[in-house]
Amino acid sequence: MLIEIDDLSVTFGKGRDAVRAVREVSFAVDARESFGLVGESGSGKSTILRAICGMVPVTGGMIRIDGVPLPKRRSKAFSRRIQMVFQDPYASLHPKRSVDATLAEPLAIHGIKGRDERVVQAMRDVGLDPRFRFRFPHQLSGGQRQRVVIARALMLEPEILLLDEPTSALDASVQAEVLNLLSRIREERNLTYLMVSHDLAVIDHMCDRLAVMKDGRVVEQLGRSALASGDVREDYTRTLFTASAHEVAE
Amino acid sequence: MSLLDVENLRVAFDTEAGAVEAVRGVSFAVDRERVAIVGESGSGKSVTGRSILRLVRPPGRVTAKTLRFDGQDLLSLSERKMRAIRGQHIAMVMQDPKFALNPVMSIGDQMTEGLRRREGMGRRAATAKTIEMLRAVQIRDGERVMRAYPHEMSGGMGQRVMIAMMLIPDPDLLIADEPTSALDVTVQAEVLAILDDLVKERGMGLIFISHDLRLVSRFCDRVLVMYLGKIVERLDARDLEAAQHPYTRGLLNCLPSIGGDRKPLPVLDRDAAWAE
Repeated sequence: MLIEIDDLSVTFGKGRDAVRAVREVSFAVDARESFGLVGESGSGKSTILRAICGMVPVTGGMIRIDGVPLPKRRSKAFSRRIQMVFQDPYASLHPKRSVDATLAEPLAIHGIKGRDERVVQAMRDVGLDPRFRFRFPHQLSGGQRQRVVIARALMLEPEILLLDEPTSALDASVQAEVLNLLSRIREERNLTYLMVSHDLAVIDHMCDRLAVMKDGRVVEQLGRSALASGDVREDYTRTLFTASAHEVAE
Repeated sequence: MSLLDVENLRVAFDTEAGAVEAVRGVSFAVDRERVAIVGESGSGKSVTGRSILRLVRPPGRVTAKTLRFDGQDLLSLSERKMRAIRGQHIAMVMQDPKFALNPVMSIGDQMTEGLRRREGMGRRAATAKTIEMLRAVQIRDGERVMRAYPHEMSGGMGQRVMIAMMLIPDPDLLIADEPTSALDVTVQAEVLAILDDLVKERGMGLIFISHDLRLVSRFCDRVLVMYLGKIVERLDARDLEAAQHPYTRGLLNCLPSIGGDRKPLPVLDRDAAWAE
């Protein structure tokens, strides 16, 4: 397994005020697999992605990549393998940095040459016209911004993408474009996706397997076919499924 | 004559790059029924809702051939008369309770403010009425909720509080601007059911503004589809699947579905002619 999450716990605060955001969660994602985490707000799904990136303290359990436990501080080598795409493209882009500066930064940090070609190529890969290269985030639409964020995540040619609600800030029509882009990129580059969403239909469209989360725990793991046939074990999964019922294909 | 008549509504904003028309000649009428206005961000749906309440501030300019509510011309009313209409006769539920509720006032104080100030009700009577309203939106422990502050509540709870607050004066028309978009799916269904019951029970008119075409089709009687400031299609909600306009069809088809075939999702091929 490429990503192994073993008994992971994340607790914020101490004593009486402690919030146990993630409680003893275990799952594993194979190389080139696309795995989804679905749940409502506060269920801990995004916290798991942040824990993998070292953005929140891990208070229990273990995260392994290729069988190797992650070091306390995430190294440069880590960011070459794993990159994250955040929910709100406006908040995750520097407002005073042009597309060019945003995309070139990872190259500079990692001492990669060929800035010009790489930036232009990255923009083409995500379907952005290279004429937008010197624009700022506020001069782009929401969909274009999310393309910039995806391009930035791809600059270092990682093998794993962590996707945190990558389309929930977008209009439905733009969501379709971005989901198509993510599917195409995964196909072309043999990427592994770990994707978080509150939208069961989006997860079903994008992922082979999924875990349903509630109150920091994984309540059920299931495959795509089980979901499509409504073959679920847990009541909570069923509730979620019913609430998304208008999204079920006829 | 309908409860609300809107004819040739236009809203323009002056920007550095010249005037931008957010709403370009929209006409519709609403009776005691549930009408949805659907479109993407930037389609002018929210501005349409806000201009009915005259909430569009300068440099925004609102013009209309007719903007009549219950026989009164909303555009020519004095600000004072308009205040008497807002809340009392036309109420609005905003998208996100986090931003729409006053963060430094307890829920109880904000909910009873109108009753006490406008209707001169005493504290005890106002509290009793508020608790009754909270019960109507399925909040059983009203007394505790009234003591709480907005940050102490979940999104679904906050949105129910806002709906209850808007319904206290028993308005004739409720404008709900994406009232469930900030909520989780399971909570969404609950809040919609509550809203639905209340609108039916009280015989209110409802304008439901949303980007989610499938959601409104289950919930409303009629659907107006907006694109770049214009209404491009009007439909009965039950005829949604028979929509003709390529934009409406595009919005319907671009959503993934559970158990779908996972082929690339159809994307909107925007035609410049739709905007004309």
